[in-house]
Amino acid sequence: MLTEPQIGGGTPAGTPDTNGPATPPIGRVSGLLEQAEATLARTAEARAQLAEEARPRSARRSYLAPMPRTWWLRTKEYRAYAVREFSSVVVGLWVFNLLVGLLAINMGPESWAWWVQWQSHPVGIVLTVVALAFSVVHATTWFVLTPKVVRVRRGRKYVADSVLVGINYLMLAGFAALMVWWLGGWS
Amino acid sequence: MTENTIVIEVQRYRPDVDEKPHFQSYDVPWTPDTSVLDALNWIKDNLDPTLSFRWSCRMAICGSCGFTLNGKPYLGCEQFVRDFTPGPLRIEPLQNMAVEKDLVVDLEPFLEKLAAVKPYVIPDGSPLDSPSHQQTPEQMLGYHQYSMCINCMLCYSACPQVGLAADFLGPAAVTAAVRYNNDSRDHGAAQRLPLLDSENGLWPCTFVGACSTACPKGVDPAAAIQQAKLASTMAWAAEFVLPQKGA
Repeated sequence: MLTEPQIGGGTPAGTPDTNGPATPPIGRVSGLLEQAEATLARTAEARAQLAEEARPRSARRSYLAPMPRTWWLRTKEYRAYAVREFSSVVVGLWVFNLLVGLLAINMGPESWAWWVQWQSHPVGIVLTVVALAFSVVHATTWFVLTPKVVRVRRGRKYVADSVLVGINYLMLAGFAALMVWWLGGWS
Repeated sequence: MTENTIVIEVQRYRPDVDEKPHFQSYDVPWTPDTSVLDALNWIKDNLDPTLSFRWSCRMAICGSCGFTLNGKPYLGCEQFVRDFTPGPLRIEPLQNMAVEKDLVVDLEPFLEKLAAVKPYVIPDGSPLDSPSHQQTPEQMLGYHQYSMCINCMLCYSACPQVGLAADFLGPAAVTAAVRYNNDSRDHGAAQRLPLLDSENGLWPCTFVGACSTACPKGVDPAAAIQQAKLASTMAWAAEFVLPQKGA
């Protein structure tokens, strides 16, 4: 049976027993004091263990997913971006072809004849057709993006995106007409 | 009303147990007004209390509940489960960010980038009642759209350049810089320029434009970054014309 430890009552442990061995300290007789001390020790031990377990140690081990090489295939938007960027490579190839042509003119009639002949070669024709397609992609996609860079404010409103994109197309048409006229297309 | 159910696959990651993330499926009942955030809370309340995710306001203004839903970044509170039927709906944490647990990502890199651009009005020191602190509606138009950002980081999740170049300042931080640069009361553009113009400032942007598509508040960060590129280039060119402004 567990009785309340008598705090302040009875004879405290360790004090000299004045009444002789007939009345030993109550705790020593019943073993309650030892029990209580053992309990306290166990509690302290458990508490220390809990404190150790609850010690703020970092379980942080964050995970960063690697970027796959094929990230540009992930969404429709990324794919459209990849096509837009790739279009400049194709256009670049065609411009390189044109540079070779300029060099050929400089080198003489035979080189020039070779270059002109090369243009009607199936590979040359494919390059030109593909380059035309990709330059259309390149131009139109950048036209669409113009309003993001250029914003024209009139009063308390911005000029509509469609107007800015439209101006791009008008300028392209104007420039193309100028080139055709300059090259004698209308004569 | 009869309840429909949908299979929701949630990416789980417990750093103390799991080597790497995996998916866990839950059958979740839904009605036409069940948001994705509601569904996650239903899972947490009824199926799995260990599931971790951030949320707060439920109305697309706190910016806490950004998730990747079927591969694209959204606010969980703003999307309805009905739009992902018949399912399964795959919920992952935001991309390009370190996952701490389940759907919780590390915010620290973003917060550092945001703080770095000095996202506050830097006044010219004139008294508060001077005209330089007043603003017309036309002047406000110059930055108002960019001030709508709620720092939800969906744009960082959408941007492949953030994934490829982790130190890239990123869409929202550059937009915050532009928002204050465009503010007529602000005089901090020169202080913000060196960071914006640095290698990892605004130049890693290749104008994919996914940030603007992802933005739930119509901020259009892609536009802000391109305008900042233009402004940065003009400042660079001005150094040739006005040598005293250069370094």
